[in-house]
Amino acid sequence: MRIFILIQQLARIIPDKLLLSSGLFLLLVTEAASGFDLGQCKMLPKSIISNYNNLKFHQYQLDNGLRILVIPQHDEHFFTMRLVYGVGGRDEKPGQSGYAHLVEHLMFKGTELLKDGEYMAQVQQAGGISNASTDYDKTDYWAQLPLNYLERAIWMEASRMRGLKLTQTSLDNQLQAVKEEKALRLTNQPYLNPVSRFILSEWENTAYNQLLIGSDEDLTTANLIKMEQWLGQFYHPSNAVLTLTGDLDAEKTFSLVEKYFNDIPTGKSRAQLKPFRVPQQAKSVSLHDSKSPWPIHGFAWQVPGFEDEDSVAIRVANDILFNQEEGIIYQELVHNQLAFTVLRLDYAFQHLALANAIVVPHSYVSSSRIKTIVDESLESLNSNGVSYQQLCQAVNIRGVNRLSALNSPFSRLAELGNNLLLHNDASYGRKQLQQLLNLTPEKIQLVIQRYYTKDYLFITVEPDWPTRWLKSILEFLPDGIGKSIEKDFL
Amino acid sequence: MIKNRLIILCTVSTMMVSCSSITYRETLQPTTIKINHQTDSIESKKAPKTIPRPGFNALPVNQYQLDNGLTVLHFQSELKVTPITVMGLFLDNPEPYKPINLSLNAAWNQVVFNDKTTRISLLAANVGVKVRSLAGSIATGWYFETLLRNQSHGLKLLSTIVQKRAYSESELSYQKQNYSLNQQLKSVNGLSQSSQLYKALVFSKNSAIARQSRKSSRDKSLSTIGISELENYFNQSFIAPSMVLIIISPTQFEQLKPEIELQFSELGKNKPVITNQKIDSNNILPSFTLLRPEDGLYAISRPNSTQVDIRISFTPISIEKHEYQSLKIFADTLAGRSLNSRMQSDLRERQGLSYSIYHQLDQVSNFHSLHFLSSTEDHKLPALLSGMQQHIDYLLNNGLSNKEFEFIKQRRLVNLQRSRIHPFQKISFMLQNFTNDNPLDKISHEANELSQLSYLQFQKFVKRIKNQQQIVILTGDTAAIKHHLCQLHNCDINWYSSKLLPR
Repeated sequence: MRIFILIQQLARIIPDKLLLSSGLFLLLVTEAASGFDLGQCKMLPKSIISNYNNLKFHQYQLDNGLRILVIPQHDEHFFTMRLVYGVGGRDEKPGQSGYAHLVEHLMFKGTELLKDGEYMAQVQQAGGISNASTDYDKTDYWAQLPLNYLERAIWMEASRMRGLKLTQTSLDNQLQAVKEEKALRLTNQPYLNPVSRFILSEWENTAYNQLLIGSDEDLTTANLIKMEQWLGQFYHPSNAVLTLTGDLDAEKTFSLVEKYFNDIPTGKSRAQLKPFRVPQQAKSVSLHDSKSPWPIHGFAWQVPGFEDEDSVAIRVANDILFNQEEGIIYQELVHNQLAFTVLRLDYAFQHLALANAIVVPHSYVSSSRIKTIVDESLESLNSNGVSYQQLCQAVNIRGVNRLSALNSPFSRLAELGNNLLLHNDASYGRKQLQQLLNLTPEKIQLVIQRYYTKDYLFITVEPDWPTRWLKSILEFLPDGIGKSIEKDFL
Repeated sequence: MIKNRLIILCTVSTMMVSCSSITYRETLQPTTIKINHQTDSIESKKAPKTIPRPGFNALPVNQYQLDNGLTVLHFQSELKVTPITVMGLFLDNPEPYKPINLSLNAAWNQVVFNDKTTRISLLAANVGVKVRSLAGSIATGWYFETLLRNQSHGLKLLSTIVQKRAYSESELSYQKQNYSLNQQLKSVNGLSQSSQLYKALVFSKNSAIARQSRKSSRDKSLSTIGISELENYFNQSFIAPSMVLIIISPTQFEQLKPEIELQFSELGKNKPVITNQKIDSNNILPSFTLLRPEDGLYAISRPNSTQVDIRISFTPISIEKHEYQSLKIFADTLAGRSLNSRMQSDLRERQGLSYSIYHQLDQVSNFHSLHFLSSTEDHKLPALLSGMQQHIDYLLNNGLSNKEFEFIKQRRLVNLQRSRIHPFQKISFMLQNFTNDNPLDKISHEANELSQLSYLQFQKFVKRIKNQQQIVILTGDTAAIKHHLCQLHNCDINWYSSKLLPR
């Protein structure tokens, strides 16, 4: 017996095509530019939420717990499929770091029905693409293929969920590939290695405290039995959400999913994490990294993850402070020629996040000077709040990004699938969009007061001594001379 | 025994799952969730057959020209979940191979976006737009996506960028400097350093355009640019006949015309001073000279590196238009995006020698540089390097079988069609067509070229490039490279320091 749920099948009195051809559509949905002052920010109207309601999707559940979302999009003459499992770095016990990611690699090896490498061979043969990713909360597998491969792709994905046929050889070569990936993405890169290790040490007592790609020790001790146990524990229907979009008929698509997935046995539910907070504590550290060519300064605040009701406001506050070009602190530092740029790293997960900004300073600007400016800006915002214009710009950019992402098949599947998996509500994004549109300057001020305190982590990554010493000398000179030397030196 | 215990646990856990989804069942169909122990259904294990693929769809593009010469390309998209308009305004550089223009483009783009008076990004933020910019030798411009309801504002924004610019000398000076460091920070990894060395080895010193792009930021031509040069360049180049407005919108073309006329009819009434005559890349070479590097192995010393980066490059190959698809098939076969390319499947999937082996194609005029790139821990360097070389040699010596060729060709055809789903991809294709004087639907054009490519033509191409010089550049720790490669190459390595690469 299946559960059939159809959400948001909104009856529309006038079909879109008719509106378009009659020209009525423009009158209804576009605003004329004449008379509009680009210099004035006009907040996206709350009625924009109706765009989210246009997202028609069909939700099903199999007896074994597999949840399925089909989102027909008839102008996409390919289909995109994504299977997301509720497993990630946060499920790794001590000694298991890197397992979630290693298993992601192994999923492209053989199954009982597919020979080693055959999954990718079939995707390639079809002219499609496929890949996977792992983070702390989830692991996803996706493919985009011509429509005639729909049934084959569903069958292959079901075959992978049924279980892998792992061999020592395939494990060994994937362990090697993962070690190479670690060197390529982390240990041989400037900045990332010392910074990520420091952040993990600050999250020591949380489920998010291990290196996602794994420690060398844990990867070395991974074996076939441990991998099979991992697969048995997490890779089953009730811990997964399958999403499909493209020029699809929902009922027919569901029937195909049912045909190939229905008899896969279910498994044990993933242990739920209770909400928690990492206490904010002022700390200042200096990390030396010989691979880094230039010093950087990082500011970081321990904030709740995206499960928290303040999450939307925290992110908007972060935009207002640090967004490239529009951010208040970006402008203070970059437009006043104190920093080359201000960047942000994405450290936001379901239960934990680190609001942050990375400042790349000019050679003649000391860390204490940067710190003073950030402190003063925060103090001012704490007392005076943000303006309507600042809020409006941040909300508009975030709102448009959020809505336009739904037009990309990959983002569409990620948004709905992740929300169903993590929040048990595929439409959770609608709620977040509503929260975004309801924000006020007062709410942002409250969030800044609550989270963006002076008790932040201040991290400096220092390059090798010649650059460090030269910079220390320039910091003592007047800005004009410093600028001139910097210009010649660079 | 173990299996039974697991099943009991599963039952309990499934009940927990069912509790969490109670809302759906209450409001719609009450049901129970059963555990299905049956795992051997023959039906679900049988591989389904694929049905034939549908035909290739052309991308219908409307073309229109305003009285001032501005070209407008319009593609009417389907009304999607969120009504979005994607638009861009681009300059088709009239003299794409003139080095100074590249520097001017870079400087102009930097200044116009960071200027404190107009602060384009703030204007854009007011309507929820994040402007993306493009500053290359062939084209310069800006593009973004906006809600359909704001598309008129988007047009106004584009028009503002090119018509209401304002910048100061100090702003220009600062931005030039800022741009320079940003470019340097971006090129801190081994492969970007070996790219710089490759260009220095194959293009002569006076080939600024070929030795771009970070090079261009340090080029003297950039340091000598002042406001007056920038203004002159703008007034002479950013003229309507050299520009194209591209719009992908659910709105019909006829309905957009009045707004476009309103915003852009005043654009660039000045007469072009720079000739609008494009360089025919088949007949006139841009200003670069090819060098023949010494045979042998090159290495860039990068202390404390935990990996060695490998670049195996063909020196620039002169490619006739009809040969481009052969070059792509050659490169894809060896190191395309898939795990199933020959190098990925053997060297990564079978031997675990690297995380990724891929190719890169760079073009200057009708010369194409083909690179195969990878990185590995130093002790695997000999195996990976010789493995990559063997795959290249094997394909050069044997070509493909007819069956393999047809298979790869078909796959590329489907991939071409798939690669234009996103509106930004459509914009990119439409722009390329415009700047290259190609038919408007480049995808169909390319698909056509590919369809017509014969097996014999491909084999002939492979034979032609068989003797093309290849150079190998490694980037990594000196001691590690010497230790692992000396036996193989008798230490006959041309060494460079990562801090003193030729510019």
